[in-house]
Amino acid sequence: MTIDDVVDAGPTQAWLYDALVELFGATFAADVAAIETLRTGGYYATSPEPGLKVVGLNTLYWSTVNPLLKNASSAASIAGEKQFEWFESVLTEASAAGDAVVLLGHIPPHGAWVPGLFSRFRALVTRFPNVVRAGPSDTSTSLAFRWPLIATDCH
Amino acid sequence: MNLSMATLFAAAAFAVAAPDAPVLAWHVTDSHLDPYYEEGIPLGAGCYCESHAACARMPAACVPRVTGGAGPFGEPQDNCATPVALWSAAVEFMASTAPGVRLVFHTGDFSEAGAAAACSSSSPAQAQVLSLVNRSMSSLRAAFPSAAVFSVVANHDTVPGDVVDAGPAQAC
Repeated sequence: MTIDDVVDAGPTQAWLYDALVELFGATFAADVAAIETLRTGGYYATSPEPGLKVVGLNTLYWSTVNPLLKNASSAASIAGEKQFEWFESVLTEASAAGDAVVLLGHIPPHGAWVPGLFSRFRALVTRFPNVVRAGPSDTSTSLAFRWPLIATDCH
Repeated sequence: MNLSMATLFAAAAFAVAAPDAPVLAWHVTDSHLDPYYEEGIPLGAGCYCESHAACARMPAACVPRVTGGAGPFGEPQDNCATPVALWSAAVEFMASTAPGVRLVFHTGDFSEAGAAAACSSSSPAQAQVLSLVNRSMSSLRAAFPSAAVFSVVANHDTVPGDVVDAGPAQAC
């Protein structure tokens, strides 16, 4: 099998996400909302201490390393859009609460992301310049976060 | 994400600028732990620094040598992943250097290069990935009992690699 042979089979990541509820979610087991998004989509937002929010993104729903994202109607693409909408709500709520936000993700923004998504991501996070305190760093753009918490290597 | 060369994970301590005061944190990524890594495995033989005895899909020539071969703390060739000795030493270093951090971040790629093809039928690829995530997260939590440890899923932490939402027929 090559990676191009992979076909969309709908949401089938329960084997991983159910396990992540314990493997990752042990840190925030009492946060019902965070556990629910982790279980259904592999991402979460939670507050380890007052004034601080940690946002864990599932960049496999945003990057073209996942061949299923070549099809905009695939389950993975739909899940990616859902995550983006959720992310916007998280930042909006954090801004209203005066929280500082740390973004975590694996595949860095820009080149390896679904076409058009990076510009949307940039437009979104720059709406909240005083909220996102650490996250992806990409010096080829106007983004200038304080630390690259999205890994910088590439497949 | 890049395993074309041996990927030694990176770690860094930094301060998150929270509203009231800086919060010290550790950030580690791409640990690519390989529990089958063995010191002395010949290089250039397609072994991925794993022995045939431990991982049957490796060639028969993958037998540890007394001299030469894979080093004790990793190899920059043969797509070798991270030996347990290196991961353990790194975590120990992190804990001794900045033991009082309140936050620890691991931004994914827990699994070795070959996790998408398990070493034996008794260790399916999915179970192998979950085992490596568990092993890595457990060691971080043990080293930093007072810190909140966070992580995210990455392209080597799924089966087949890079893909989410592929059907069982496509999974290894």
